[in-house]
Amino acid sequence: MKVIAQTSALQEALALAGSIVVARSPKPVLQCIKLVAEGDTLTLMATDQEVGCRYLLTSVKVEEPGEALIPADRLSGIVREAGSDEALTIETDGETVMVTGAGSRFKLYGYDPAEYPSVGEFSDGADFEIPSAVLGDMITKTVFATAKAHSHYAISGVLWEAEGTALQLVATDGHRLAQARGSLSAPATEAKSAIVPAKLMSMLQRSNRGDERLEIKIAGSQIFVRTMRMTLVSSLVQGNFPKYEDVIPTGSTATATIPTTEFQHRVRQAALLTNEESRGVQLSFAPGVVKISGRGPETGEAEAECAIGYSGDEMQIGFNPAFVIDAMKVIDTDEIALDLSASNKPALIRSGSDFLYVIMPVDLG
Amino acid sequence: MGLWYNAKMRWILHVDMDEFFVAVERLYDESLAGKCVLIGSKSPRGVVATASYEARAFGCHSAMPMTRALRLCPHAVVVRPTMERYGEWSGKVFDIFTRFTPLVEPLSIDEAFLDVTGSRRLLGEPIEIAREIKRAIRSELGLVASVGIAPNKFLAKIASDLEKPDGLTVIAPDATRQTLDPLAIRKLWGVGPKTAELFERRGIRTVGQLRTMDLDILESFLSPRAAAHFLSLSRGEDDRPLVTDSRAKSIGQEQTFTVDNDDDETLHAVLLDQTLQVARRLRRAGLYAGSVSIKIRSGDFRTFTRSRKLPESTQTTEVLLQKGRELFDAFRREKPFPVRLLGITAESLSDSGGGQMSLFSQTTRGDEKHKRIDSAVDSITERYGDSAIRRARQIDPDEPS
Repeated sequence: MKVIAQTSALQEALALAGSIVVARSPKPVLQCIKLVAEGDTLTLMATDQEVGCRYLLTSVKVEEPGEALIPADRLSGIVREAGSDEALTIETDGETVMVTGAGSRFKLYGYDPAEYPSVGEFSDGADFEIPSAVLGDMITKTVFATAKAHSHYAISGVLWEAEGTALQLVATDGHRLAQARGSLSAPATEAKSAIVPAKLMSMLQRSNRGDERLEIKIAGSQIFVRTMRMTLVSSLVQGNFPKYEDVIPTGSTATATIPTTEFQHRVRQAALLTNEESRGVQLSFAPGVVKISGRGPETGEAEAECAIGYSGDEMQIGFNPAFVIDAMKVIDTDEIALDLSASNKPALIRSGSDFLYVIMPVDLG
Repeated sequence: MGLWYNAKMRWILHVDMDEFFVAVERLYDESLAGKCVLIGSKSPRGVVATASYEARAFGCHSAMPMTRALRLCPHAVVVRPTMERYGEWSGKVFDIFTRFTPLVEPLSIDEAFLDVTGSRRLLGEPIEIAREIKRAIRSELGLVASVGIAPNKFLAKIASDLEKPDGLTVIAPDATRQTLDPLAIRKLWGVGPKTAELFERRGIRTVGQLRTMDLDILESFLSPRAAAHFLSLSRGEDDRPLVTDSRAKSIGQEQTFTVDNDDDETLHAVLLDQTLQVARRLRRAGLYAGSVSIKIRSGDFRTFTRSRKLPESTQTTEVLLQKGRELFDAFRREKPFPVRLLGITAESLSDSGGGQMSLFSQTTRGDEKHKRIDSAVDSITERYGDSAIRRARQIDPDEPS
């Protein structure tokens, strides 16, 4: 294989593909990136055997088609240290790889490309299409609510439900739940549902240029996402997603209209003196104002208030402040609506017409 | 009570269940009564967890390789341990303890210290309390316990062992010397095989011999701290308070094997047993664990611990067990040596899980059916007490093979 590529293009491809490669693995080949040069393209492939990526570089000159398997961190280092307008020549001699830049030369010991696991390919048509900006926004609004450490439970991933012209994402960690909806650019050929691992979600987020059209295909136990320059593939999370519809409150006894930014700021203030053990803040709702207070047994007490619109009886409810702040960070409307029914019942935050957030309260005793 | 009562004196009970695993299995299978029973795994490296007294007459004892026990007692019935069962019955036993005093320090699944100093006014003298505990365990559960009564933990533990099984022994302060003096040096708390050898090499075989030694002679072969410790134990002195779970910084359970254990099946069973106890103790104390650690010691006394933070504080058996197993399995892959000691500890304890309520009750805790059953059993036990557990057991019968 012999191929000449621009450093900047390689940098972009490696930033994404390299992020899949596991840093430590008993199998050295899994720490590698596979390069395939054919026609007038260079494809970079990476996989951790759950998530995989094929990144296509077209602005390259293939002088000799072929393949190479190179340790990802070494190749990334070489490309990172090269000048961004420099062209790099990558040439194989058996399993050895020569990388030549302007004024630098590297001889890298690689591996046999045939030993690399296959990276799934997007075949046939897409199930639906969505603009990357729309999906990116939906991911931002949901992925934070996934269960972080229950890595093999259904709730470690985000539930995708596509039907007609809409895609809905739902994420929960069992204590709060985020739901975002968006419009498809090409409608779903049939209703599709899948639990997508958080790792793929963050890959999509990181690769989001904001102006691409994403083709999505859910087949068997895998999901494929394709753009002009790359294909991402991931195993789906197996298991049953909890019946989330049942926990989204449908009625309420009180509704508050709250300024998003100030509320976030006030909750932060009230949480300043709480600690891990007493991590709840108490919210006292009354017409015109919500008082937010927090305390730590060894630190003291904090109180903050925020002007709101409010209809309903006065009510007190405790929340984990982090859960509130997480949602305020991703909400892009100036105001939110907060529906309450009781201090031991879930509260519902609404922002615009396509974002819902359910928080289960904290019992502050 | 006699003349030896004094206002500052503590009264500690050590309650030790007799052949606990065997006794529990006999509740389920009457045909085991009076027979030589060995609880343990028949696998090639399996060890005896408990031997019935009938089997002990043939020389079988716990921690003995099963193959050897069966050579000594070929007609013994081997019963696979059902740790869930022992955990349940242990819970019932501990429930009885807490009727008599809130100060309960669990030592293992079938053994605890009870401080009944403050219970005397309400419930009577320690020996009455001890009789009542034994009676309750026998009449309500059909199990037998031996109880030792003494002014401190060390003596209470010595006492419970003196008249086993079905013992009830008081070591009164004026009888301390005559009780301790003839005991073998190994009976002292902290004297393992290696320390015993140090003593025996110098002709010190009994506690009485040790008691009359000068401190500086002991310090010639022991650390000053160990020398002082053993000397005060030989005089029957021990001022350790009870460590009850509600004020604990961590709640753990560990077990030393007399024979290094390399059988993953047995080790997993031990870990399950320990986790059931730890989780139960967390719930009893109203505590939540923020992290879990396991401790493994090799035959050559290298000790390793591995710990992991939990995504959220928990007192649920299944979550602790899963983390514990992950840590254990990862460790075994890394260092597959025979294990001398295994333990699991719940750490970063807090009074509440933060009070955070759940959206989906227990359904997010796991996918597999048995996990849901397990957590349902947990919550039923917590909410409605033990009487409801029986139905749950029928859902998931776990007959010994």
